[in-house]
Amino acid sequence: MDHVLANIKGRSKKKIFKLLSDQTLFDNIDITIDACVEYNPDHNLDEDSWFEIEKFSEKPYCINLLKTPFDSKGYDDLPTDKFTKIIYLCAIQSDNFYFQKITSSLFIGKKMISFGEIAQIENNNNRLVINTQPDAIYLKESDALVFRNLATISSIFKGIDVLYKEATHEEVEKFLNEEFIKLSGNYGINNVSKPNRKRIALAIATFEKIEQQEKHQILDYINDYCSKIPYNAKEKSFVIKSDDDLKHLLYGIEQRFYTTPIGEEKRLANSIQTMK
Amino acid sequence: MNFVFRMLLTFNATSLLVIIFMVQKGYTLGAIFPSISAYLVNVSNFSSYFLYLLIPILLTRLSIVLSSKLGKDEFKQGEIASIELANNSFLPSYLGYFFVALSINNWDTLIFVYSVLFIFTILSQALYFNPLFLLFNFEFYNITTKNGAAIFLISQHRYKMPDEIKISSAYRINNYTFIERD
Repeated sequence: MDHVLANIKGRSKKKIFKLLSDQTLFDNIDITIDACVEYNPDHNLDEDSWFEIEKFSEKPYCINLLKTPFDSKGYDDLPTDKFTKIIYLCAIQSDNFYFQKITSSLFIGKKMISFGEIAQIENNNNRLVINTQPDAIYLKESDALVFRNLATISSIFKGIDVLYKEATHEEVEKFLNEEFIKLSGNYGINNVSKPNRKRIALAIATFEKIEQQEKHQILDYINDYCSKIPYNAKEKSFVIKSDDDLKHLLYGIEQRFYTTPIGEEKRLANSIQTMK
Repeated sequence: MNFVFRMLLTFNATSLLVIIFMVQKGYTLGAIFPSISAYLVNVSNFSSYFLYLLIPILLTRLSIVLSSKLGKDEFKQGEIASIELANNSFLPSYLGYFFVALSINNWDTLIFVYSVLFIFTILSQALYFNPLFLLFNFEFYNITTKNGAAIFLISQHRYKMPDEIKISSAYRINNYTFIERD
């Protein structure tokens, strides 16, 4: 039997209540774990793919609901006065848990015209909109959480935003002071955009893994592809004038440039995925 | 809907107090409705008492029918840790009703005592169970789930072992009370 639970905010000791039973909230979504992408803040998801976190129940940000065997009888019915306090819904459908974050904009308190056989005005002021797609799904059998946007679900799974790596001010400063970067013009640390901060966090991690010799190879590789960024071969440094220059440099560090084998077209991959 | 249903169950569970009071005082239908007493001369007092009893019995039947409108829950096999028959646990409170009803002398006292009893029964959430369910072949069980939750189950099935409990949809009367009906 499918159930829908609601998690409410507030100071009451009980947070999770039963909202509906024997009702299916979301259309079943067929997700194959192999087709999912391991979470990476810089990855641009395809419309039909999902991020995944494996062994989710072992993670510190996993919630208790997913760790214990589910029993609907253990949850009280949601009292009607707490309806507007819902912060997320969890639909249990054939052993999988579908989550939807609830924001105040999803509550509807307007007059509506409903049409079936005849058109009717509905004055019912308490309505909650259910999205066509859940924000996250916990697949019990494969112990994996799949989702599309980390920021959306960070209020459901407290602490999951540790996965969202963005370089701190100090890290960005240290990175821009590397010898292979020369800033010029008005471009400075305060101009570094949010996406580039994410990429810097990844680039720092990449650089930690490679040798000095390989670093030089990468700089030559970037120079091969990015002719628009001035390169000083003697000092082995790039002159960065804008956020866009920095973006290309960071793409280069992640080796996102490639040449097609046929046609020899030079390309940039703005999103990558490791082949399994 | 839920509130009305609880009122109905509470009424069924407590109405015996009123009936015992009427019986003890000898209030037959003829005494209550003098206009029809002429027709009832040859009818035994017992038929009045039986009619009184029929009201909560029929309402109990109604509550069983209405329970299909309640929220549902599932009892999966192996979810229950322990089970105990609770058919007799209503006896102490029912004996209490009897003695109270027998010592009430007038309508004012009855109305007051019954109101107090009704309010506390509806608030306590535990005394909804009503021996009239036994007439419809229902049994009462105290069960504990593997997660440790204590539940009161009303069912027409005869359960003895925790593993026998496998109910695809039981109806939730309140958060602690469930009814299984076929």
